[in-house]
Amino acid sequence: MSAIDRRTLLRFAGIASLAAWGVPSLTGCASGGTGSVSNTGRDRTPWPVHRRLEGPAPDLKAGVDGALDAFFRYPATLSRSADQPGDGSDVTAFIPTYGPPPAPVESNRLWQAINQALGVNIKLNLVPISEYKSKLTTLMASNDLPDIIMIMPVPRVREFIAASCADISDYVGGNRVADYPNLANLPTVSWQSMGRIGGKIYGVPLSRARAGNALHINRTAYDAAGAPLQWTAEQFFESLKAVTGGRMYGFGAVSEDLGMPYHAASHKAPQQWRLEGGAFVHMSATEEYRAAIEFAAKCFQAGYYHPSSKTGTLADIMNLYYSQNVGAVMGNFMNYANGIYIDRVGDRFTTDLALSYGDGHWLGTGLFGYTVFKKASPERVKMLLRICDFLAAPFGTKEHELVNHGVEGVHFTRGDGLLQPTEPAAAENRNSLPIGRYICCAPEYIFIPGKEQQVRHAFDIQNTLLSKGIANPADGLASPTMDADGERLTRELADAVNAIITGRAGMSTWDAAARRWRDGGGAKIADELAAEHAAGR
Amino acid sequence: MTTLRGPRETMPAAGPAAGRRREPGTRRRLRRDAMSLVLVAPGLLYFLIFHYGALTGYAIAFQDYVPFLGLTESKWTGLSHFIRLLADPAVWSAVGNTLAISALQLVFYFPAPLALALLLHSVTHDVLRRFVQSVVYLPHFISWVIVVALFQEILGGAGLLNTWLADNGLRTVDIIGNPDAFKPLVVAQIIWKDCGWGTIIFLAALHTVDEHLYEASAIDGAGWWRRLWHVTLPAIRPIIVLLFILKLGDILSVGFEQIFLQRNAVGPEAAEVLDTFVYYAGVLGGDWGYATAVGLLKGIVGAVLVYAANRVAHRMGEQGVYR
Repeated sequence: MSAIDRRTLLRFAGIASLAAWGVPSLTGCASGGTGSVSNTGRDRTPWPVHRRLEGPAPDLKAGVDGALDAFFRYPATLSRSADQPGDGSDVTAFIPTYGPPPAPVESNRLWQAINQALGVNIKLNLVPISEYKSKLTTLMASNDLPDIIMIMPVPRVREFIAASCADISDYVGGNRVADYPNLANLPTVSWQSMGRIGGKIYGVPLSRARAGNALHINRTAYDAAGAPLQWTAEQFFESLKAVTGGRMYGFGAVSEDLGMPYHAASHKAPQQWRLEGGAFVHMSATEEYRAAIEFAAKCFQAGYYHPSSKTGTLADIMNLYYSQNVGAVMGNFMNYANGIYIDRVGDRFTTDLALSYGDGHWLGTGLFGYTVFKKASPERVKMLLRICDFLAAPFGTKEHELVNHGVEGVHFTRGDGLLQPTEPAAAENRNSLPIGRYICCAPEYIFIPGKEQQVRHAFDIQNTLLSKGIANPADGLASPTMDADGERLTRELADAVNAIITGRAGMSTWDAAARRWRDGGGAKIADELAAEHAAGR
Repeated sequence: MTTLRGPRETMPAAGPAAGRRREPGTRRRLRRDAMSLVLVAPGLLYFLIFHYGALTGYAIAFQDYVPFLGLTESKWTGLSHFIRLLADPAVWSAVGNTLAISALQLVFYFPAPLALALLLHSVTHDVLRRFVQSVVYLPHFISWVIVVALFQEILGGAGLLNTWLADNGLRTVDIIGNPDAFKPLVVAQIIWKDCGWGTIIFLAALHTVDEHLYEASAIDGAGWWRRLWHVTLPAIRPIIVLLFILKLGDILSVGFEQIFLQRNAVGPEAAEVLDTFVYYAGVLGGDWGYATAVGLLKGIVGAVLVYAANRVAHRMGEQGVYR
């Protein structure tokens, strides 16, 4: 336990050396140079042409770019959008999970039904999300890759993909995506945020709402404090003060960011980067970000943050939110818009979304991660793509219903405008078996069963958030230095910000921290991003 | 060594000379010792593969190591990681924190199990002693995640202690998340968790002390303190020295999980130790070569300390870990 570094490294080295001795041919094609991931100066495969699938008519139709449709009722009639894709073989997948482990396939009717519909035998390596990045790094060193791997940003992952994974440009680039209509239905921004590697497309994005993260607040408590929906920084501060008292604290945050995304967006700071005349300016070099740190520090040092924010994970802070010890917390917009938080809170208080206390909102990247495939014959890669196509079937299709809700009569019964989960669904559901979340998934939509008023509210909030949206211009751009050193640089900067917010260091240390970031590799990343950007998305 | 050299020295006497006992040949000796060799093989293999074999992984310290390229294809970079390491303030800050925590552990945590063992040893009621022993062993089996959470629930800003203080109109104390309190806190945690477990070896050693010595010294009028000083401690001194040397070898490993779980609360200035540094740089940062170089440095310092402490022990007339 105390020697985890050495042990992990040694085990790792053992695997690595075995891999190196055993099958050098597999990795032999990699350039090894860090330039291989850059798209600058390469022929770039065109993005898959977006073809919207017309599903059931939404009750509130998205008008703004990036907005989601909203539904009051579950569709009465479902369409079909994919044939059985599989060839009866085993398909292994390495994906994360937020839920408990599923029952084995032999006794899991949901898993059996999905296998049957897909025509393959899905074998999962499910990794808890908190360990996913370190497990993925270890997997990259192994010689025995699964067929499907869900990718999150870890150091050198693009080099790994270019060396060991299948190039799918010829199957999904441009108009060729038409063979996979559900993949063609994924928003272009999701593909762009995933980005190309060496000019090629290697992955299928797991599409997510553009609204990204928003502040979830205990509206009951904040109403009592007289907080308006659109508030100013002063009103926000005064509301925190009024809500904090006894066991209740106005604000809670995870220890990694201490709520900085909310403060930075409210101060209209850039989301990581801002484009100024072709040059990339990092948020750490802006006055807005500095002001956001100062304001966050003021809130923290006034005692309005729950003390567990110094140590807490998102699960810890969410539990404090449910138990009314924390009045506001940053979280995924969709957790309101699909009714999860409303369900969990129940009648104890009204959970709601808050706008920023300024004019900005940091947009989501449009994807959670993306799926890549082990190198294989064209037939097999196409089969894996057909599986993704099946799993990406949109709301209002039979495929979507099966993957997300299970089998009628077993996992749900059809109610009036909604699906009523049955008892087996408590164990067999898409949380414990997230095949349709993390191998591939449909575009998101707003639907809270039986709660029309909240659906309308979520839809309106979404439009307001998008209208204030600040995107990260670096999304989807490749920078070899960012791939290699980005993680370290980000962490060092976050450590410095945390020290200032919690009062361990003064604001005077900020300039030095920002300089360390710039000189330690940040300036080089900015140059590489600018070159990538100039070459076009 | 001497047994290996033995047969060669006796080789010239291979003839019918002088009725000296012939050393058996290699094959005969193999046959004679077959069973012992079979028994020793699994352990030997374990050490060869998982300890010595794995050491080849340290080659990573001299490479710009890329996991999916492996050792053979990654670029060799010579000593560049070590040169960078010497100039990296983050490494030296981690070394400083590690040594500070280690020193506190040596002063406060190392003697704690000995003291507890002496107390337990003096309990004569058998049932009571076993009960207390079981209770003090238990925390060892609780994972660090739980231990850290327990401490936070009790001492944290919204924990039991501070809630009680606040409810009674008293000033709250800032312990969890306070960089100044961090090092004493982690030592307190390890004492709470592992002190009982650490008594096992000492208790076993205490049982080997000859009862007659206690009787004799008691008859001579020696009190509790004199019996401890002149009988108990000298008798278990070899064990104390042995454990102390082993602890020195581990001096740069102060507990990864325990510190990792609390690092964000106080920041890297107070809580980054070599183990967490290696984790962040290597496993999360992907800077494998550099992280391995830091890990290798740590291993070398540990080995040097064990060697030096062992030599000092010999000078003092002790057995030490090995001769």
